[in-house]
Order: sequence, then structure tokens, then C-alpha cells
Amino acid sequence: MIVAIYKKELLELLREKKTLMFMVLLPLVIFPAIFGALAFFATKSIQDSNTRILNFYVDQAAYDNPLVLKLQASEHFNLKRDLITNDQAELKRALQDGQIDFWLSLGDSGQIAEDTQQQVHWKMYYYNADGLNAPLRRVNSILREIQQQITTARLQGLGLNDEQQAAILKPVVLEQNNLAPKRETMGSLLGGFIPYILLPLCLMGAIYPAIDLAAGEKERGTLESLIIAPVAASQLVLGKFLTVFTASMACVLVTLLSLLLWGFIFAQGFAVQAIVQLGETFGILSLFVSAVMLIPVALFVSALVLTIAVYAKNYKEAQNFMAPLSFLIFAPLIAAMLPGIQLNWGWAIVPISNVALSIKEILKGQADYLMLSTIWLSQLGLALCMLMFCIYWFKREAVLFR
Amino acid sequence: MLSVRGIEKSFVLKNAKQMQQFKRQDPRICGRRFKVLDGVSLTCQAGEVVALLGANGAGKTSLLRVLSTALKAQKGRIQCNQADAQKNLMAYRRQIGFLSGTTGLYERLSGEENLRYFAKLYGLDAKQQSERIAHLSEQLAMQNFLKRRFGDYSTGMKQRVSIARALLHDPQFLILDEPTTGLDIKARGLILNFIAEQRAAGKGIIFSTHDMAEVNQLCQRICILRQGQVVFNDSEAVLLSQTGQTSLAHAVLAMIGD
Repeated sequence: MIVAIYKKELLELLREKKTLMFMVLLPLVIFPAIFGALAFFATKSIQDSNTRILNFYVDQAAYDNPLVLKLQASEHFNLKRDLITNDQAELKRALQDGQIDFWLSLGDSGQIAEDTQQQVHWKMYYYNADGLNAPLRRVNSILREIQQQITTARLQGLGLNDEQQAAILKPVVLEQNNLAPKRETMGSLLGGFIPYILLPLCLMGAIYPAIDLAAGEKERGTLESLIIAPVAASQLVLGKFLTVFTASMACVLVTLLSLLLWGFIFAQGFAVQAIVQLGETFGILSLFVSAVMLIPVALFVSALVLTIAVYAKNYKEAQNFMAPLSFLIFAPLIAAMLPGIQLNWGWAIVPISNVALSIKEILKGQADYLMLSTIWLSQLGLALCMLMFCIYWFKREAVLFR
Repeated sequence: MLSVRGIEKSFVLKNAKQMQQFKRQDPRICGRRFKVLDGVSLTCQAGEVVALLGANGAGKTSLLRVLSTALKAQKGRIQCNQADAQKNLMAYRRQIGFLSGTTGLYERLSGEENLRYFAKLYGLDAKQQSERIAHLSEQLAMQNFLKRRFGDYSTGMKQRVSIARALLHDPQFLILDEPTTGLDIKARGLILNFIAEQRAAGKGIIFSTHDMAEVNQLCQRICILRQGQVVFNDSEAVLLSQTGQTSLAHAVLAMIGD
């Protein structure tokens, strides 16, 4: 009977445009399109700010300053020769109006004597309202070359060879030797990140079907026909629960497939290489065990959203109830991502956090399988308890006929 | 025989607003509970049509929902032939067909898919499902639209499929909650014919209505509820003589009171 209910629920769900939207179109097309567009515009914006021609002003007296000469030599800077003023207020206005992007006040020292040991102070005026500060960054990168040339010339003037110069410029060199295996480092990074991506997907995939199969049935008046049929409430709930769980898993799989597909389309060889590298670093077994660890959480999430949806009177109320749920899922996930948080028997009893930390340990190759089994079974137990509660909830008149 | 004895059902009132709605002087309110059915007893024999009458809020829908097992009674006994609704719920449900104006079917499934699904829930095997659906489809003239999605049907078409859903498992007794409310004259005629046919086929029917013409046309017995209690349970002739009225509507009004 459960199979018959499951099949019908799945068929009905697949015929709903909203389901297709949330389960297929969103992860397969809309999410990649949004992320792709965001990445495109972010890259373009950074590229634009780095390559845009910056107009600047400097007093005529400093036209032979090495920085000015270098800036002029670059095709990305334009000296505004038509602007002739020394009035700060007028220059400020020009800056605000966008006529110039910055102006330099280089003082009297147009030239820098290489044989002196005096520090020269130059001033740069710019308008950094957006916080990006591209003009300062770009001028600094050109000034760095000049600084280096002058430093080398001055040190050579003092009769220092290359080795002595290096000793003065960088008296101490800290050689970095990370003894942690590459797998552990990568595992620590990815292990925190993977549950953070996958568990919200589980939740997103489960919410809509749960609302449709529970609160939706109440709203459409089909629940009454269903509960008077000679079928135990537990069977009805299990049929619905399996559908929600399937949708939740399908959402995760479709999103992963979508990432692979779009990765392959845009990065081609790189995507395949990344997957192969991932498999080689962590081992297929570790990736498989990580996926298995997620199953009881997905079961728990499915049972939880179904329980909430059973209680709701209608779609709208169900959606209101679901909104704070994401915070309940995210909080333990964020806790697991915090630096210094390690899996121990204390964290092993914190739902969701324990699974996220387990995945981290598995990918790092440091998993304690006794602890993992305990976490898996306890999480499964929790999911079953939630499912039992959902069945009890479904039998209550006060819940069904609120 | 479908028999109901000493049924009691009460709901918890959620808030003061609801209390005001039900009026404080209503004797059915006891603390935070509202007794919607108070010792209701009635019977329905095979081949008999019982009309359930009463003012709005008298408890008709609650009683029919209890009979359909959508709601559970706190006290009393409901039996259909040998099946007790408390002790042998599934057997009881197989002998009952329930239809109301608000019971819906799945709009994204076709009429046939809906019927097949409910047939499965009622334990019919594949062969029985096909036979039963073919029979009902012919009887209710649904052949032309049964393959289309339920959501695309007209009200009349929906009503026919809903009737078929209630009859799929060939129940002994039918419980109908205001089945003609909101229907046009054609769909209403279809329901009334259906009730007459089912009665002729030997099925027992309990149905609630506010239309005295329907009662006059179809019913052998009248059961009147007032504030959750049965105040009359006999034939139309007895009702008329007991109230001294000449029309059914006036007789019912006399029984219902204020």
C-alpha cells in the first residue's frame, strides 16, 4: 500500500509546475544562470576597474617626475593636460564630477636624487566612496617599481652587493613547511563546506513537496477522502514521507549534476581534472561514506518538514512555518565550520553539527569509525523518532482539522 | 444495518473569540469544551434513505464525519453490520462510502487515475479496479472525459467522479453531507437520481440537506438534530402528526425551534 501511495504522490508532484521549478529548473538552469551571471559581472567589474583609463592631474612643474612619466607611459592612465589649476577646491570638484580620478601633489621634488638618503613625501588625492580604491591600488603598483629601482640604486651607492641588499631589505625569511598532508588540508576546507552546501539543498528539496502533500491536501479538500480510506495513518504518512525524501535527494543530485554539467561546459578539461583530483585525494570510499553520512540527516529533515506541513492549515501558513527552519539547519552547520571545532563525543550528540564534523573528519582521513557509526545510528534514530512523531501528529484530529 | 448509539463528540475551543461565536449561554459549552454531539443514536437499514436535518451548527456535519470515521467519537458505538468502527476500523470503512460538497479529488491526476488510486486504497486488485471503473464510468456517463485531468472538469463532471469514488468499493452504506449544495439543476438531478438508484440497489443512505423537496422525494425516515441531540427520528407522517403541521418545512421548523 505504501508503494501505491508513494507512486501516486510522486506522479502528482511531478505534474506540478512548481515542483519542476524547484526540483529541476532551479538547480539545473536558474541557479547556475544566477551564479554564472554573478561571477561574470563580478569578474567584469573587477576587470573594468583594473583596465579603465584613469584620468589624473598633476602640476605642470612635475611632468618630468618618474611616477608621472611611468603613469603617462601606461595606456591605462591619462594625464589631463587641459586642466590647469592649483586651486584645491576646483580640483576636488573635478574629482567629484568625474573629470579626473585622482590628482598628485608631488611638491618641489620633481626628481629624486638616488644618492641621498632622504625620504620624499608625495600626496595622492582620490575619491574612494565605493571602498574598492582602484586608483590607489593601481598607482601603488606602478610606484612599487620606482621604489624598487631607487632602493636598489641607493643600496648599490652604499657599496652593497645583492646578498647584502637582500639581508637589509628582508633581515628574516620565514621558510614555510606545512607538514600536514595535502588531503588533511583539503579535507578540512572541503569537509566544512560540503555539508554547508548539501544540507540546505536537502531542506530546499523537501520543503515544497512536504507542503504540497500535507497542507496542500488540506487546502484542496482531498485529505478527508484519504483519511477515511481503509489504510492505516502510518502507511499514508510513510508514503508521503518517502516522496518528500525522494524529492530532497533528487534536489541534491540534480544540483550536483548541474554543477558537473555546467562545470564541464565552461571549464571542460578542468572540471574533469578537478573531479579526478578530488577522487584521487580523498578516495572514492571516503566520498561514498560522506554521502552515506548525509542520508539520516536528509531523513530527519524530510520527517521534520512533513510534520510541520501536516500541522499547517494551508500553503501560506506552511510557508510561514518553514521560513525560520532554515536558521535551525544553518546554525549547527555554521558551528561545525568554526575554526577549532573538532569532532569529539561532546559534538557527536549535537544533531546536524555531528554529521558536518564527521564529513570533515572522513575527508581529512582521520575518521574514528566507532564514533561515525554512533553518529549515523543516533541521527537515524532521531529521524525515526521524528517520523513516529509525524505519524502520531497525523492521527490527531486537532492537527488535521485545525 | 448501520447503527449509531450514544455518540458524544466535543471540541476544544481555542480562544475567547470562538467562545463568543458560540454564545456563552449555549448549553453545549462546558468550560473550554464544546459538545457538538450529545448522546446521538440512530439506525439506517439496507434500502433505506434517512434524511439528517437541523439548523446550521446543529451537529449534522460532525455526525456524518464521525460516521465516515474522519472524526472519532469520544463516547458511543458505531456499527455497520458486524463491523465495529472502534474495534475493526478497516472492515467498517470498507462498508461505508462518504461524499460531501467539500471532499475533493486530485486535480493533477486524471479522473481514471484518481479512481484507480482510491480503488487500490480500498484493496481492489488490478482486475477488480478495471471492472469497477468501467462499470461506474458507464453508469455515470464518464467515458468521454475520464482520461482528462480532474482539474479541467466542470462541476458536474467532478461530482460524477466523486460519486464514483464513493462507490468504487461497492459499500453497503452511503453517507452524504449536503451533496447537492451549490450545484446547478443538472448536477443536482444527477445526485438525486444517484441516491434513488442506490436505494433501489439495496444500499442504506444517510444524507444531510436543507431542501425539503429532496427529503419528500427520497427519504423514508427523518432524523432531526438540535444542539447536538436527536429530537426526532421517525417517518415524515409521524413528524407531521406530532407537530400538527401540514407542510414538512413547517414541521421541521417546529422541531428545530429558535
